[in-house]
Amino acid sequence: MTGQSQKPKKSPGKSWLWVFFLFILSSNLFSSMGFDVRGFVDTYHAVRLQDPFDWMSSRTRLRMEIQSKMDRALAFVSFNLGHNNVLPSRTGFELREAYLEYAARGWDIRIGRQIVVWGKADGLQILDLVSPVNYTEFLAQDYDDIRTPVDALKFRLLWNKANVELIWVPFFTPAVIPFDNDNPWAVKINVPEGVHLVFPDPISPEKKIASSEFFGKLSFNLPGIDFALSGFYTWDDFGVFRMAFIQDAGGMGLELQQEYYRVGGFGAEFSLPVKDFVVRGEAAFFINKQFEPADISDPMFKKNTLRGLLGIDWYPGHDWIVSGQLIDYVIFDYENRIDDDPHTGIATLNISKEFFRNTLKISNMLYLGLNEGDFFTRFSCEYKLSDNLHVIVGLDLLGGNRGFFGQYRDNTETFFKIKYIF
Amino acid sequence: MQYQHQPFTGKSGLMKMKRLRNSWHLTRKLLVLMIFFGLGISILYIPAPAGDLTGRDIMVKVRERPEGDDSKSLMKMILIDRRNRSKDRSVLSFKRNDNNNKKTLMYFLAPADIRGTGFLTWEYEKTGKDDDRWIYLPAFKKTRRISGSSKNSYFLGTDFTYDDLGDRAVDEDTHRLLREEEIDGKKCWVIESIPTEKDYIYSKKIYWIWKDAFFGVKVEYYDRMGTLMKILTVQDLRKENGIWTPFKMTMDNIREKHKTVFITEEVNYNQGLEDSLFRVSTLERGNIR
Repeated sequence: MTGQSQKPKKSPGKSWLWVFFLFILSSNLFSSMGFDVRGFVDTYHAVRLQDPFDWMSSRTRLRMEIQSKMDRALAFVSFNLGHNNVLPSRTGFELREAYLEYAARGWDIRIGRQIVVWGKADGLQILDLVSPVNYTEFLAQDYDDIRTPVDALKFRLLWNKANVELIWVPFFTPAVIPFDNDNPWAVKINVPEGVHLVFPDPISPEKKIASSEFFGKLSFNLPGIDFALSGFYTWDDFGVFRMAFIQDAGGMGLELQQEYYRVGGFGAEFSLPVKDFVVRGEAAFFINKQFEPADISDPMFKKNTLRGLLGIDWYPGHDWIVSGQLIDYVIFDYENRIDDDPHTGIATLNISKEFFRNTLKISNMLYLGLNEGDFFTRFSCEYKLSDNLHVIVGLDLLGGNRGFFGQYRDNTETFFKIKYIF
Repeated sequence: MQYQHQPFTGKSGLMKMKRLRNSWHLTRKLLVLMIFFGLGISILYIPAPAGDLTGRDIMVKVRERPEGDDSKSLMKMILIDRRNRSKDRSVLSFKRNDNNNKKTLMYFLAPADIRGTGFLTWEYEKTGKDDDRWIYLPAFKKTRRISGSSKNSYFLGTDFTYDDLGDRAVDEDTHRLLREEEIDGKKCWVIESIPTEKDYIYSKKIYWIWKDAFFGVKVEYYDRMGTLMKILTVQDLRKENGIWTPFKMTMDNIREKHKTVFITEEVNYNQGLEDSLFRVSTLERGNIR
């Protein structure tokens, strides 16, 4: 059973060599037409470091980014052409972005498929609600790949030190949660022996104007500080799962009916440089966010919720960087019958160092679940054979018995990637 | 069972951001260096005889030399290693002076792995007031405020550190006029600058300031042990729109047998650049037009 938002894709071929053929063909074609063409070709492979030592990922792709400017207008298109050996449904063409933009002196507008990133957090989502996440390969992906583009209209009023940003998303786009058993990063759901899982089609918003999502932000960029206030009226990208035991041809089943629901709220964020440090903060307040019950016979709970983040970056010099973040998800007016904890804490620590005039980069990013003690840490070495050709090797280590990271405790893997950027 | 929003990785990008942040410092300092070495309007300056000026006086005049109201320039840095292999970095830069404050917007054009990265800075003349800086990383599709930089880090493999090109206040060093000397037909004051702070990466710097333009045409950098580390030399100095402009200069890292050649490929002054160009919203757009 696939996740709700995993989109089937055509499988144009079994060899990844066609990617390189298309790269040469298409980049030359678009360049000859006067377009600005950029992008990359990368090939990424990961293998599990325990029995059965299977491939966790094996994919190769071409990313093309093509744009054309004329006076104050711009057209931009970005797409992937890829071949995925582990997840064949991910093979094929994927339109990432395609939008038109017009920038006037005091305002600009962008219409079309686009990725919108909000917030001050690194690697975490607090107020970053416009473009949903894609967890097809969990966190073992590039930042860009964890983003899901949305079809939207973005309008900004621009002043010297403040902006107003208004976003209208007429069509709801859910987050991608993998449930496909062929995917090593599928969400683990424990059910009694002999019980199988059933995923009906999710209950999604109707495609009508009334189902639109709206986001607004007033941001200030002042000497010594940035801060912003924002509001949103959207759909929960993950929704909730209504659970019930059923009998079907396969015997006893646990039905998980995913349902998206309206949620609104407001937030604030700031960024404050202090000497060699930058202090960052972000908070989002959700009104009547829904929570699943611990006992499936209970109804859903609607509670106000706060997500908060405080982070600090330190640049001690000599190409070192140390960055830490602390996150807490709080459920107000908590009831014990709610399946989630009243507080869910996550801490992150990123330590990086570059060597040989930025030719070699060694880094480690740790995510630590504070409730369960589970963790995910990615260690990587990136070596630049040239400015265009990068080789990356690394290790993803996961541990813990429960929690968001602990569910993947058997997924410790080593990976290898080559990326050619043009 | 609820699948909460959870973190996504940003590790590699953060390191890149750090590297590019340093890049920005370097490039910003390069601009400062250009100003320091001659982007001022030299016609407003009438050189004084050495006997009337102390080392500090000369350095103050070098720093205070006026600039154009704004500039647009295309710059290139060539990194050459000990095996004579080279790498290029290209930057498009916009700059505006506003009531003694400076605003700069820059975009990297090359190499490919950092193309599209943008930097915005507001610099203030007021002593003790930190600059405001932002960076835009295309892979992250967002703008981020950044802080001051380490003094010792090299950026993007160049031979420039944060402080090499620094907009250090004149009184952060003690300046002494050593002698007068001629370099490539240019009559220069030779000035020794010794830092006031003890933990500075250099024990001293020696400047050759060309008298005719109040333009530094050579700088020697000495490490804490007093050994010569690097030599900065201006090879191509010309007036553009009446403003002295270093079209080519080289930082020769003697200790590491590595060089960085800095080339100004195009420069236009007083273009009437509007203040609205130098906004965070411009940076967030991810492109400039």
